[in-house]
Amino acid sequence: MGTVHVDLSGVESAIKVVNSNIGVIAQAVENVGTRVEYVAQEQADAKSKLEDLYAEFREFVATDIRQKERQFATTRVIEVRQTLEKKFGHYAVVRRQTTGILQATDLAVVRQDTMRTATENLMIECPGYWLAPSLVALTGWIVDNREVAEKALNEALKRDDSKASLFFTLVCRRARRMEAAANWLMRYFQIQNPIALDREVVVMLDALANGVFGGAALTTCTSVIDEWLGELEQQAGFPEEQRKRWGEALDLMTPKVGPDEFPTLRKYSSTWPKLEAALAAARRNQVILDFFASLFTGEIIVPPSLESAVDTLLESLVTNFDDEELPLRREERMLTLIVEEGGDKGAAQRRYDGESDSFSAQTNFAAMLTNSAMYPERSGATRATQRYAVSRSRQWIIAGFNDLVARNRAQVPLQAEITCGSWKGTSQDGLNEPQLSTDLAQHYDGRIEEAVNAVKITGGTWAIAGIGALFGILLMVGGNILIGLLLLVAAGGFFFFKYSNLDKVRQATRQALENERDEANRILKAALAELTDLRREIAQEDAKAGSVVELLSELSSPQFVLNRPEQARAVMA
Amino acid sequence: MPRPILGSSLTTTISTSAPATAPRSTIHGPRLQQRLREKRSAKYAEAMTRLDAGKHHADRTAIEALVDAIANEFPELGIDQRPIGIVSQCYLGAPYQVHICDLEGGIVEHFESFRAMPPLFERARTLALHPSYAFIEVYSDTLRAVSLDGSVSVIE
Repeated sequence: MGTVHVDLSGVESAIKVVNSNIGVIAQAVENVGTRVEYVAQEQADAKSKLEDLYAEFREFVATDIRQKERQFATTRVIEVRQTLEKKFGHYAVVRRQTTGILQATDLAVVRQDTMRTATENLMIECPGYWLAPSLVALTGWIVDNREVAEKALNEALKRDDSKASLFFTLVCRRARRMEAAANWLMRYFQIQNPIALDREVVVMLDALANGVFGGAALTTCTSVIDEWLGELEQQAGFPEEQRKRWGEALDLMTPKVGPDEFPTLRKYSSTWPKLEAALAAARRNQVILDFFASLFTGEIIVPPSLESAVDTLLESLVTNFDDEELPLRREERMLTLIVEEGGDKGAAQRRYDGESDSFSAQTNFAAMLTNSAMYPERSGATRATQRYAVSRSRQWIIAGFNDLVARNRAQVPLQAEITCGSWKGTSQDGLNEPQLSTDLAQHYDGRIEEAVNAVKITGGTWAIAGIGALFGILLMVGGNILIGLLLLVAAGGFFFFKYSNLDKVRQATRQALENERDEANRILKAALAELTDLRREIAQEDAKAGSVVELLSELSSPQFVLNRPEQARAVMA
Repeated sequence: MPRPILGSSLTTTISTSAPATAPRSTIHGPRLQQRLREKRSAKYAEAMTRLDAGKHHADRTAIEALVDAIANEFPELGIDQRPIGIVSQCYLGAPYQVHICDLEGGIVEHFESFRAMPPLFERARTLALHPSYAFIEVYSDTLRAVSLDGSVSVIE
């Protein structure tokens, strides 16, 4: 058999070309791979940016709503004040004349006719207002016109018995008519109901706490207050209501945690809202302690003369307690709170709810004490009254405070959850870092192993190479040896390229996950450090609850009744 | 079932004979709240704090004394107005954290830090661990935290 020479140089050349082309294709595939990775990264970045954008958008909308609410409240509060001025501004003239008449009489520099004419004009200008006939009665008394005085007095009592009685109590006290003052005060008390008192009772408390009442009036006041409180205590549910009232008032003093505090826990712990609430509640103890400590620190300056002390009270009585103004005053307060809270209506409403009693036309005596203690500027109480009110309410304050503290302590989460990357763990106080770090490392070791093992020849590669090889064989069998061989070599080359690229992909996968693990570990360490600090601070601040109770327990009401220079020290029951 | 370390089990069944002898209460509403707010007696507080240390496994009379202490503390209240159980800190050591005396179920059970108590009791865990409170009385709608001096704070 002769030797057959087949010239394979063409095949070899073609194979070289195919190899070269495979190299080009491989390069192209690698480029595509790089671009796919790039696109995936871009997509992840875009998603993250979109999420940030959404959060920013929501914040923007919320801020916009708040700004609009604030703007509206700022404009509306001006309108309300204008309405108040328009509707009740003319009362101001009457109010100013009250102390004006008394001081003019002291100095004897105004003719009696002038005073009489002025007050009689007020009767005409202010129909229905209790103070106008009261001033006519006062002038009638000063000019010794009994008939006019009695008529005007009857009218004043008819218009507002409580305020007129208290008004004449103070006027008589100013004139040092002790017996008349005691009679007026007795009349005032007789028409009071401790369950539904008018707001001006705070003036009586002011008079008591500032030492204006002496002798019989002081004794009467003290025993009536004891009686009122005793009566209220007997009512079912009253003590509970008082504790709740105080708890709510103290809860409003909870400070906000700064937005930059504990940034890692804020971002990576799903327990953060509860931790934040616990921290804010614990910090409230210091706020409450400062509030009561500063209230009882420093000397209260007693007005030098009895006249000036009573004039202050009279001014308060005639200015702060007219019920007709209440609806507008309520609206004014609510709008002011919205402005103060930067347009946050919810926060403003919560603050308003806490002090809404001070805008009720009538309330019980104990609520009056709470209002005087917590919202002196709303209820028109002086600092002396504030001290007196706190000292008389101390048992309720302590109980309300203890309930509040216990409620907050019950809500402190025992464990804090931390999420770093794909790992989740819990810590009580941040001191289990070695254990959590190991757990995190094990979690990522598992993930890396899983991900690296998952990098293998894919079904697609197998399919392409297999189909290519099959077609090559079929072509060769069919006689197209050259093309079949080429296809076979191309399929083999493709498979080889894919196989040799696996290590590179594995390395990249490992590197990406190791980077994620290192970042997660950094977050974990930061979060645990913050948790340790947070728990320590909560414990320190929580312990101050004892100081609040201690401070309040030491207060006693008699020591907070001021002594005026002209009266001997009175010992109250 | 918790790991038995004292006796055969950390769950002890106690006999609650109180229902049969409890009076029909005439106190309701705010008066009841006021009554339950009153300072607890030293004797009662002492009986409650003796709930721990596994003593009750060895001394069943102590458990009965506990039930009696509750009955004596609230003699005028019906059984449904008294606490349904007590939760306090457990001093058996790790992993035990708190224990409960379930008066309705008549059992004393110790719980580890990782094991949840029945829902009504679980909400008292944090308070029971706080050093300011000797023990926590559990009611169906409220918790009452009793301080070392017997004063009561109410958590609604």
